Amino acid sequence: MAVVTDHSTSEPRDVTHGDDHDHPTDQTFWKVGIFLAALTAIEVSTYWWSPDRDNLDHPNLGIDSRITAASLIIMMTIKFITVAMYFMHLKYESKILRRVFFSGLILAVAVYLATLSSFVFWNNSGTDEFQYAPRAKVIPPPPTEPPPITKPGHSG
Amino acid sequence: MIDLATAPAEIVHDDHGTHDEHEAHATVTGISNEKLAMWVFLGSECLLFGGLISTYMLYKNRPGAFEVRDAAEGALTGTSAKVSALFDIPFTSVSSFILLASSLTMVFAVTAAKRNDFEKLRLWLGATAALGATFVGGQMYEFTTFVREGATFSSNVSTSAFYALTGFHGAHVMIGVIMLLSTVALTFRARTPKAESVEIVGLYWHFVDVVWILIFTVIYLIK
Amino acid sequence: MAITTARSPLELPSGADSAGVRPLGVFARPVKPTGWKNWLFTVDHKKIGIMYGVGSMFFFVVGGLEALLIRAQLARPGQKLLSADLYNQVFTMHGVTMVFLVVMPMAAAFANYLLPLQIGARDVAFPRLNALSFWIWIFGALFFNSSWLLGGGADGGWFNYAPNNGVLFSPSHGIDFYAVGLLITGIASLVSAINLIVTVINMRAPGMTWFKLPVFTWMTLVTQFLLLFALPVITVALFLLMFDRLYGSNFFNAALGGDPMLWQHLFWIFGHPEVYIMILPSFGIVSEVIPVFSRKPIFGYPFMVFSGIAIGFMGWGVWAHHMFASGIGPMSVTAFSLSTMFIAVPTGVKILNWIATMWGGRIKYTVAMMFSIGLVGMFTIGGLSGVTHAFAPADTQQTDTYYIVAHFHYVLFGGALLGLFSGFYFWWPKVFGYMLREGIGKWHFWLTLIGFNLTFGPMHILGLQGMSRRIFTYSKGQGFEFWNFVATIGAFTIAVGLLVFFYNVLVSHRAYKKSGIGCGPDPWDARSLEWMIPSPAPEHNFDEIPVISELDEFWHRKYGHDENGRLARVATTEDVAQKGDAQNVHLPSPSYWPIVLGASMPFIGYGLIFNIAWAIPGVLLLIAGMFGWVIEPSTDPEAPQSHDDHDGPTEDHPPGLAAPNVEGDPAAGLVAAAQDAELEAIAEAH
Repeated sequence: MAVVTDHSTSEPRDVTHGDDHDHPTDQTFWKVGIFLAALTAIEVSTYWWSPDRDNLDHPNLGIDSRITAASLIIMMTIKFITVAMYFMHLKYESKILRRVFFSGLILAVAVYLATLSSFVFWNNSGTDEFQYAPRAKVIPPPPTEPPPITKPGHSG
Repeated sequence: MIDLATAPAEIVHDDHGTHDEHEAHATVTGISNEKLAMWVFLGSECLLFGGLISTYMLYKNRPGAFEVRDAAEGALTGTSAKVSALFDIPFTSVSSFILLASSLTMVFAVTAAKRNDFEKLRLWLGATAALGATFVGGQMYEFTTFVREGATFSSNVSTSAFYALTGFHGAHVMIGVIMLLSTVALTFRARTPKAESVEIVGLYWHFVDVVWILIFTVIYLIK
Repeated sequence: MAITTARSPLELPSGADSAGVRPLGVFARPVKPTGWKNWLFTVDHKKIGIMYGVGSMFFFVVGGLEALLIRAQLARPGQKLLSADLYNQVFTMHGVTMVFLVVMPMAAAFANYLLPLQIGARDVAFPRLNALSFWIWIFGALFFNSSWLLGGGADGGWFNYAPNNGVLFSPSHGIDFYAVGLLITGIASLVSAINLIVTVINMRAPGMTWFKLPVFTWMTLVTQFLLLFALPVITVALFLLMFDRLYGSNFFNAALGGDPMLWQHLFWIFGHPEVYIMILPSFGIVSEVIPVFSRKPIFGYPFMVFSGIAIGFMGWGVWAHHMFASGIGPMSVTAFSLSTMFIAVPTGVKILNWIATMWGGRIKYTVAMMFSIGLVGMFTIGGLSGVTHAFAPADTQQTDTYYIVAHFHYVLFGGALLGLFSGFYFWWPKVFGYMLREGIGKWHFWLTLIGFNLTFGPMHILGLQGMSRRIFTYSKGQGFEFWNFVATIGAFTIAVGLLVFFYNVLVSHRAYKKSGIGCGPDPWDARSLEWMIPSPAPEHNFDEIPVISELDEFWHRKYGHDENGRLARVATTEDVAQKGDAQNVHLPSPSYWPIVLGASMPFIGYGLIFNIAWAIPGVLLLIAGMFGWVIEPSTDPEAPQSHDDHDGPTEDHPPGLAAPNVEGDPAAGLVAAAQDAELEAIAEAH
């Protein structure tokens, strides 16, 4: 009789395609959908949190734009993970799917953040002019006054 | 004792409908080849969209002013070097909700397929395709408005990067809509799609939605 | 009821054995075609591997001729054989050809042929996609080279920096062919990567756990992951370039807000993993060859595996070492200089392990072994010069000189290519049923090795003396004359060596045809599973899928240990090797759609570059092909279907379970029980 012994480092075999335990019901999906919609609504509301450099009349709550940006990134990450885990079923699947997908995602984030960092990106995004990082100190120009001419034999 | 820990596990398919040709062959992980392939593909797509998003982030504030006109009357209202000056966040928010809703309808399509409820399957797939097509329609309206306002593909690097990114995304959505409609068409044939095929189309669709979540936040909302 | 009438899982529920409807109603699906049609519509990984091998060898000659033109032009100062513009085209096409049309597809030839065999499978996960990859590649390769006839080849260097790659400085269509051609071949590699990754994860034979995979399989798997993640990055770069050239954007035009550095980053984020993509398969080949001809297992198997994974992983963190002189700033230069120094470590581990494998072994100097030892030596030299580049201050002198040309040819020719030739000699008997002549092979090897060192060795000196790269000529009196002349002699020596190889193929093939005596399944007394089946490999690969209990399973079925702990033969090859005579094993059927889809690519390409009207037939072929594909069953229900294939646990008959989807067929239970008994017997024997 073929016995499945588990001396290997292979993935567990009992997770076939996620239909056995913890399979989300339609009700769960509705709840997740509503959660995502609510989060999206909050994200949209951030449009009115911070002032807009390009439009000084833009109504806003005066929150620092860095806080707004950070909140948006957090909400975006939560939405991303929620859709991946529930709608795309990753929570209930074999870990290998998670690893394959997230390795691509993490690699992309790391590589592109490193690339953007090598450009003048972090300090100057949001400014109107494209700036280079300041270079060498400006050397003052030589004095324009000509040296005094002394005729031989003359005094003061 | 032979270590049969990698003895192929039978993939349980709970579709009791007609069997597709290339039937459930056992795989080492218990996940079908097709599903694993889709996830592997989605991993690579992260790098594609990452590159396009980074290009936009690099170029969104670059110089190169273009004339901005009023969309309705064409009168010159000023110049700008940023495509973001033209964004209509309320409009794009509606688009975002539509795409999000389409992910929800997609999920219901998959559960319907697993129950072999072909009626509901067609309904939810159709709804997903309709919402996706609406999203694309909204994007096209947005783009034509921007063009009328003066931001064409080659106006400056911020517009080019914007159109390149959202264009790629929109093309992915359109391919997804075609896949959804093809799946609906297949439900009318002798060979109905396996529940897993619907699930795999769903994975692609959710990914396209997830990329939009990224784009909407990073491009539209973060200043 | 006889076992052979067990109900096929491919039967339609109505019990009919034919769908009665033909996909798209137009063509009948090819069923067992013969002759050239057999090759055009095949989905068999072995035939596809052979086609990749032939194709890549053809382009090796093309790229080699381009190299000979370069060397002829540079043999003496001030020559006018090639104009500056033509020289730019020749060296660009040489580079692109060698990278994308030779080394990568040659490695793909081995990967396609061997991967399913080494993991104990009957084919890859998606046979039609496998064929598609090949046809897209070959059509893309021909499309790219058609630029020679349609306005000139690409002329910006294989790395094609901006702003030179824009229409202002490169107005001919050559770079358009570069962009579109590489996009096309990129699709081929991406699809193939997905295919092979799924194959290795999901289709290993029972008992073939991760750490029983041959090193070649591991290296190929890491290569596929590198391809999977690197290709999208160059896809972005090529699309942005295409948009700049064809649609008037300014992504890389600094005057209008673009940034040429973006091209460099995107290209090299792909480009550095790309060089590991090119070398890892050869590392894998050498890791198979050296143990066999040292009569010892590979030294430090876990280290070989982990160092390969480490190279794949760390290769993502070093790309800007190609940009030290591009103005990326001191922070970036420092970071990438450090990371580049670190990446030498895992490669060093491999070199040490190969040497340790040979140490104390009974070395047999076959041609395959000589090429592998050649890789170990030559790659070490190339790696050492690479380490000198890692030091950014030193690199500032070296970059854009012939010193760099020397480095990368030592690692790519001395490394990747010597490894691939080792693979040709080693696996030729498995693929074709006869061995290449050793005597002629030794001429091939020595001519190649000496020629190669004569060509590229002096370039270290030339580079440090200041000879710039990518120049079509040089002046008299700068001191470059002598070594350039020597390098040209070396290049033509390499060419003679290659002719000797072709002669070897011809002579060996003729002798085989005349004598009819094959080499048998295991002429080298080797270690891995592909040697357990007849040569040439039968279409169905294994009569029964083997059950694996240890690394080098085949070796351990042949050899055990005697009372003194010494190696002793326990079974003859005839007893262990499979006979190859299983009948009617059901295999995926041939298909038209891969070549149809492949053929659509050049039309789309010409449409993008010249006149959009050309793209219309391409798009139609594409859509028709995709729909035809989706509707077509992956195995023709009308193809022969019996189960008289005495399979072990495999796709249809997992161990201990009844064959799936068989309803109410008493014979199926008997089949399953018989196979369980067979498994028991094998288990007892171990």
